Amino acid sequence: MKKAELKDAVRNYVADGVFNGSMPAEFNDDMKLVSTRLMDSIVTLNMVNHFEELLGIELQAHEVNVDNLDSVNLITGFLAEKAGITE
Amino acid sequence: MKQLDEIIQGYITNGGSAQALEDTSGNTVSYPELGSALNSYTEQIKTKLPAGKKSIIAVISERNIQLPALLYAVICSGNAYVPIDHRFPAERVSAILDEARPNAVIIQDKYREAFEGLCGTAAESIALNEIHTLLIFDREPATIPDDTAYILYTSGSTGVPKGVIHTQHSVLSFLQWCSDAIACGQGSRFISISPLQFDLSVFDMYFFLFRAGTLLLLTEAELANHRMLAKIIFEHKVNCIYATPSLFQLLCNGGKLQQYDFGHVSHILLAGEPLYWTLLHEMKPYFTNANCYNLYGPTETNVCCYYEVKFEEEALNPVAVPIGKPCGDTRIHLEVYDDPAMPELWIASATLMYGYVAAEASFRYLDGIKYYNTGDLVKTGGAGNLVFCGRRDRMIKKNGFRVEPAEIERYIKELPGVLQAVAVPAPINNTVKLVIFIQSGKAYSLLDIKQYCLQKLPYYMVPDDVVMVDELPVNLNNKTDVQQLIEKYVK
Repeated sequence: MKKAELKDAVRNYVADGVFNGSMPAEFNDDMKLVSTRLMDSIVTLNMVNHFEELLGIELQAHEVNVDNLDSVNLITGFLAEKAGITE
Repeated sequence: MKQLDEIIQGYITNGGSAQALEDTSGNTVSYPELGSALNSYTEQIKTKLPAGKKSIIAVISERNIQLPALLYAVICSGNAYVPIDHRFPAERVSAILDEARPNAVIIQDKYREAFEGLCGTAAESIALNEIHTLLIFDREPATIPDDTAYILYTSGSTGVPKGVIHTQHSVLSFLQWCSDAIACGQGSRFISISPLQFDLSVFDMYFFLFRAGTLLLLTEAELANHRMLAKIIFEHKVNCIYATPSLFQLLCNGGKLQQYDFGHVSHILLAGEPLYWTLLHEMKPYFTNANCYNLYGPTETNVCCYYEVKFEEEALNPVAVPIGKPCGDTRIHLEVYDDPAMPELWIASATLMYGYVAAEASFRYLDGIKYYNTGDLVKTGGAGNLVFCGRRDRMIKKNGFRVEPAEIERYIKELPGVLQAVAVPAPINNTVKLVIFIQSGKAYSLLDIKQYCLQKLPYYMVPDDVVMVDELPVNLNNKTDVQQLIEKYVK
């Protein structure tokens, strides 16, 4: 999987989990999700489970935090690094 | 019966040199240290607040190892506390402050700037410890009974939050029942999971004292990360956990429980929302040594019915785990309205609230005994155990939190162009989604609604979805047909 594909997959997950399938027009990939409480801990944890399975990776407990998961760009960057996706 | 302050002080003395509190950063508080902190805070509060008058002290703090002694000091100085979640939006905090009119606030210093405008100008400010300050205000607090211990604000059916007043007597009656019924041993290790404004926290904050136990206090970041929470429960060898079924569902889904041996967990208490056997079966392989209890009771009564889980009884009451039988001396009355098989549960109990701060409490009286009509419909299931079947009104439970649709609707109706708004619970995949149907001349996106509600309502009351409609369906009584909306959405 390429990084751009991963970002699409993350964006789609956020659209489904936070915005019930329809991404708002004003959404952007830097929009804060966890710190603004738009994405609750249940969606966050389910998203982590989903991408662990998809990418064959495992996040350590301390890695499931707002610094790594607060926006589509941060989530993508963090997951890509864990999965060794460079481009 | 002794008063709560005597019980707190007595059990702290009985704790000997044992460890009372700990956090995950390695900080600990022994029972003698807890006693010293309590005495010091109590003296400071007594010195600064008017003697012989009941003060209401708002508490705005994260859970940390200083917090229990601060709460106990409010009680031991003869006053009452009202917890306020620092994550609540300003409007919610203002509504609580305007109604309860606390004449003092214990505030964690990191939130002082954010709350200064809401609390008003303090007449005096006293540092209680390195991270908490006592602010004194020159105002008359709301009128409450002399033996009030705390006020918990919960979602209100009239569209505004309601302050539930619990007396020292009701708290003690609850704790005494716990001591009789929950057989976790001396020196047990407990964990504080629920927010302070949620009634489950009363058990966390006080019951460990009865067992000379240790209470583990977690940060909000740790509590929001269920994978971390599972690791902490294992590493800190927690014996007794009191939480909502939703929390255990999250632990099962994403806590990586298979990595740990939870043989040390001896007691699991579940409350706050309906419990299903499916969840208990998911939990069973991980918590092999735990006795599980399903506890029932609205904020107004605290726990008043309980069921000790016996898997061999599942066939007697399939699907929903019973809420069981009344606790101790609790009396129940089953009031039949429409369906004789599903009466409403009324509760008369020593754990019953005194009343609300401002709203009128509509108690019912039978043979001179005061009952609280819970609004919960029950049936009498196998082995005479009560089973929760639903609500008489529209109140929603989401992740254990009480959500009155009227509160959400009230704010949505204030938006420009909105003619009508109806919030409904949509059951999807064993969870509840809060969906708001809006009839409006102006379209609103889910992002608009979420961002707006996050400024007005507690985080757990923010809708999960919005549906714009041309008109709302009505039933034969010319009221909005909520059931039709739910069915339409789920389909």
